[in-house]
Amino acid sequence: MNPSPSADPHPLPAGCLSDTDLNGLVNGDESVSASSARHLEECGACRARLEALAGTGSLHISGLRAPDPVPPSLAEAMDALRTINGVASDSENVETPRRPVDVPLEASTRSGALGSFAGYDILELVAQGGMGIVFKGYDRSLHRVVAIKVLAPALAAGSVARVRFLREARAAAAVNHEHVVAIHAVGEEKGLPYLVMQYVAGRSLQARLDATGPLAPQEVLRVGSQAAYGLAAAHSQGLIHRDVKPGNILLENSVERVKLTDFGLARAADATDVTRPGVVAGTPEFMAPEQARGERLDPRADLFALGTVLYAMATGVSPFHSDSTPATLRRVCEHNPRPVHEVNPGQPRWLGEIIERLMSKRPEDRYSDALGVARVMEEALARLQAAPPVKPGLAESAAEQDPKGRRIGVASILALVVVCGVLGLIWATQGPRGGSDATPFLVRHADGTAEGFTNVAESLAAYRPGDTLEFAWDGPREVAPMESTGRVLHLRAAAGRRPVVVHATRTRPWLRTDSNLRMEGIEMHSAAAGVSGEPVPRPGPSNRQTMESARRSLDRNRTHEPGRQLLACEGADLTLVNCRLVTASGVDEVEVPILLQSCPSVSLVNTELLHAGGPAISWKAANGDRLHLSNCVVMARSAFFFASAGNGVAEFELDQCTFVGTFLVASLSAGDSLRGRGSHNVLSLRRPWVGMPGTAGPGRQRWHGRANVYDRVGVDAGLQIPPTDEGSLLLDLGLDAHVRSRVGAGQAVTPADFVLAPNHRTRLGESAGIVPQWVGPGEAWERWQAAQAGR
Amino acid sequence: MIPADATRPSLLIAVRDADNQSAWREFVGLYTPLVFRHCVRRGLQEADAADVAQEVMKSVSGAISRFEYDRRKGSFRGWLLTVTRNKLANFFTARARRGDETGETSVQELVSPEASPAESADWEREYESRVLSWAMEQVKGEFQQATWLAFWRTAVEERPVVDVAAELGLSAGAVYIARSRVIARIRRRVAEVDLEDPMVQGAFGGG
Repeated sequence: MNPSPSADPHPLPAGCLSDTDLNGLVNGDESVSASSARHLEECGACRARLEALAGTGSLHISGLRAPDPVPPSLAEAMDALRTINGVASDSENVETPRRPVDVPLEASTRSGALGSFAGYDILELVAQGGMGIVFKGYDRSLHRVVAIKVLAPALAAGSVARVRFLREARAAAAVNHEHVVAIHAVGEEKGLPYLVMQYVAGRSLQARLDATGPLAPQEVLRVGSQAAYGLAAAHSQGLIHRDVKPGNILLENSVERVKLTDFGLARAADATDVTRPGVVAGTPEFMAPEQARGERLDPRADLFALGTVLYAMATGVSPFHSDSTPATLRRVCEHNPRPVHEVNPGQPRWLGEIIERLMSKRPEDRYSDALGVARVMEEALARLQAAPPVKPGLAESAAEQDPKGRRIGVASILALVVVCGVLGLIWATQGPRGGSDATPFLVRHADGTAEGFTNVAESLAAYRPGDTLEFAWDGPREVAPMESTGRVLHLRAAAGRRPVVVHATRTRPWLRTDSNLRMEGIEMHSAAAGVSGEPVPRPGPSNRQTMESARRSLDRNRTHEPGRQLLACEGADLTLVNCRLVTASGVDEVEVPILLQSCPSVSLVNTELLHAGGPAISWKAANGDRLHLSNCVVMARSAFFFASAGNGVAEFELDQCTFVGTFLVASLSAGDSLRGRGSHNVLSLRRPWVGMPGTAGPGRQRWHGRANVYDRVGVDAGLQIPPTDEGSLLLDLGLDAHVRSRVGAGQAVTPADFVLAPNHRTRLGESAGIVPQWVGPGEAWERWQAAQAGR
Repeated sequence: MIPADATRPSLLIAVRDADNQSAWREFVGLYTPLVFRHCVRRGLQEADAADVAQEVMKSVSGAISRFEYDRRKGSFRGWLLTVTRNKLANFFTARARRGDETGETSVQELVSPEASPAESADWEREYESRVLSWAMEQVKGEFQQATWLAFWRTAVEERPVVDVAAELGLSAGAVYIARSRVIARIRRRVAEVDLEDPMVQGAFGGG
C-alpha cells in the first residue's frame, strides 16, 4: 500500500535520499535533518520524488480559499442535524425518541412524528407482532391517518415470510368491504415489504374481551354477523383469512363497527406453494382441525375460527385454550368444548347451537358459507331485538359524536363513505337486497344473446371472443380491477349510458391486458382524482412529479409500478374512442393513465386524458410501434413519456388535438428513436420535446408539424416553433396560465371555464389573452380558423 | 507504510451505522456546507438554503445505510447531488405553489430530469473543494504554524518557495518538506472520508 514514487531503475546517485528517507520526511514525525533539507534544495530529482510521494501534483489545491464563515442559519441547521443521529427526531425533544424496533425511519418534518417511512410520517408504534410491526402514520398526499404494517426486519430476509407478507397484501387489497380493513398501498422500502391500511381508531375484540369479559348475546350476534359479512367478502374473492381471532377483529370507536384485519395468512384458495402441508400457519387456539393438521383448507376453516371467536365472546374463555401449542392443537382436533350456555348461563341455548355448529370438526357439518352464517345471525339479532332487521354498520353518525375519535373519525368516515357508497352494489348483491340495477355488466354475445352480471369478474368469465361487454350505468361506480390474458376485449358504454369507472385499488391497474383492447364511451377515474365524479382540477405545471422519478420508474423493469395506471397494455393493440381518463398522482408518485409496452398500434379518438401529475401515456415502444391521437385533449405534464424498448423507431401522429402541459414528449431514449408528425393541433407547452441529456438534443428530434397553433406560455418561456413545423403559428393563448391560475388558487377547472369569449379577436403577434375555447376534444383548430375568418 | 488511522473505516461507511454519533457529526460538518453552498448558488436565500440543506441531510441520514459502493451504479457525490436536486425541486415547487415564483427558470430547472453537464461539473468542483478545504481545516491543528504556512503559501497561494522560505525563516528544503508533509496528511484525511475520490483511488487504492 505504500505509495511509491516513479520507479527509478538506476541506482540513486550518491547523497540522494532513499525512499525510506523520503517516506520518513513525508509521513514521519516532524524532525527533519538539516542535511536532507539541504539536499532537497539542490537535487531536483529528489524534490520530484518527494512531491510524487506526497501526491502534490494530484491535489488541486492551488487557488483554494479558506472555507467561508458559516452563516448563522447554516450553523443552526447543522446543530439540529448533529443531534438526530441518523434518524428523525423532533428537534424540540430533549431526548431523541428511540427508533422503534429496527425499521429504518427517515426524517420527518412533521412535529411529533417519530420519522417517516416510505413517504409516510410515522406517528406512533401501534403494535408489534410475530410477522410485523404496525405503525400509525400519516399520508401527506391524501391527508389521512393510515396504519402501516411493515414486515419484521428479521423476517424480511426470509423468502417464505416475505412471500407470505406480499401475498397477504395483494390478497387483502382485493377485498373491499366495510367490514374489512381497506388496504391502500403495498410496497417495499429499504428491503422491507410494507402495506398501508385504513387506520381504524378503536380497539381489538381481544382488548374488549379483556376489559369487559363476556358480551351480551346481542353484541355476540352483532359482532359475529359483521365479521361473517367481512369473511364472505374475502371468500368471494377466493381468499381464506386463516387467522380469524379476537386480535384480528377490530372494533371502531363508538360504533364498534367490526373490521377484519391481518390477512397475514390469507392466500388464494388454489395456491399451495408457500404454506406446505404439515406446516401450521395460524393461531392454534382459533384454528380449524383441518388447519391444525396442515391439510388443504377451504373457506369453512374460517367459519370454525369464527365459531371459536363467538364462543370466546359468549363465554369469555377460549374453547381450546391450553398451555402448550401441541396440546392446544390436539384439543382443537379431538376435544368438544363445554356447551356455551353451561359456561355462561346468560346465553340462550340457540346461540350456543349456532356456535357449536360453526365449531364442527368436519367442515361439511358447518354452515356452507359465511354469508349464510351472517344472515342467520342477523335474523337472530333481529328476533332478539324484536325489531325490524337493521343493516349492520349503516349507522354512520355515531362516530362523529365522539370528540376523541373525531380527527381519526373524519378520515375513516371519508374512507367509509367511499366504501359504503361505491360498494353499495357489492353490498346489494351479497346482502339480501337486490334490485333492477343489480346487473350492470352486460355481456352481448356474438350470437345476439345477452347476459347480465352483478360484477365484472363474472362477466369476464362469461365473455367469449367476439362478445361485447357493456357497462350499463350512469355516473361513478367502483369496478374491481381486471386482468385479461390472451383475450381480445371490447368494452363499451351501454346505449344511452355514461358510466364512470372508479378505480380505487392503487396496487394494480384497473385493466391490464396482453391482448387487443377496444373501449368506447367509458370514463375512468382513479379514486384519488375524485370518486364523486366532481370536476377534477386540470393539471397545472406546478406539481411535484419530477421526470427523475418517472425515469426511475420506467427504468426499473418492464412492468414498472404496477397499479399506478388505469390501463396497462402490453404487446397488444389499444383503441379508445370517446373515452375520458382522469387521474391524479400523489406527491412523488408515478401514476400514468395509460401504460403501453410494445403495443404495435394504439389509437385514441375523441378521448380526453386529464392527469394532474406526470405523463399521460407511459410509452415503452418497440421498433415500428405506432401511436395515433385524433381529436383528443391531453392535459398532463407531458403527453408521452417515451422509452425505446430496443433499437428502431417508433412513430406517433397527432391531429386536431389539444395539449396543455409542459412537454409533448419526454424521452428517455435517443432522439432518433422516435418520430412524430402532427397537424392542426393546439399546443400549450413550455417545450415541445425534452429528453435526457445527450439523448434528444436539438437536431435529433424528428418532428414534422404542419398548421399547428403553439401557445407561447408566458413571455419568457422561450418556446420556438420547431423548424420542422410548417405554417404553424406562435400565439399567446394563455391556456396554461389560465389553468395554472385556477389550480394555483385551489379552484377546479371546469368546462365552463372554457367558453368562447364573444367577439374575440386576435392577430398574429398580438397577445390574445386567455382564449380557452381552443381547448377542446376535436375541433379546437376549426374554432380557431372560424375565429380568424370572422375577423 | 500505512498511516495509523487509515485503517479506520471511511466516513461514508462509518456513517451507515446509525449508532455512530461521531461519524454522523463529522458527516454533517463535512457535507452540509457543500449542499448549502450549492443551494445558494442556485439562487436561494441563506435561510432557505439552510432549510433545504437540512432537508437533504435528513434524507441522507435515512438513506445512507442503503448506499452501496458500487461505482457502476453511481458515486456518492452523484447521489448527493440527486438528493439535493430533488429537495431543491420540492422547494421551488412549494414556492411556486405559494405564488412567489420568481420566474420560469426555476420551474424549468426543476423539471429537467438530470443535472446539466454544466451543473454536474459545477457540483464536482464544489464537492472536491469542500472535501479538500474541510480536510485542511481538520489537519491544520496538527502542524506547527510555520509548517502550515509553508504549505499554504506555496501550495495554495502558489508563491515561490524561496520567498516563502525567507518570510518564514526556513530553508527552501524545509519548505519543500513541510509542504509535502501537509499535502500527504491532507490526502490521508480525504481518504478517510471519501473512498471514491479519484486521487485517493490512485494513492491508496492500489490503482
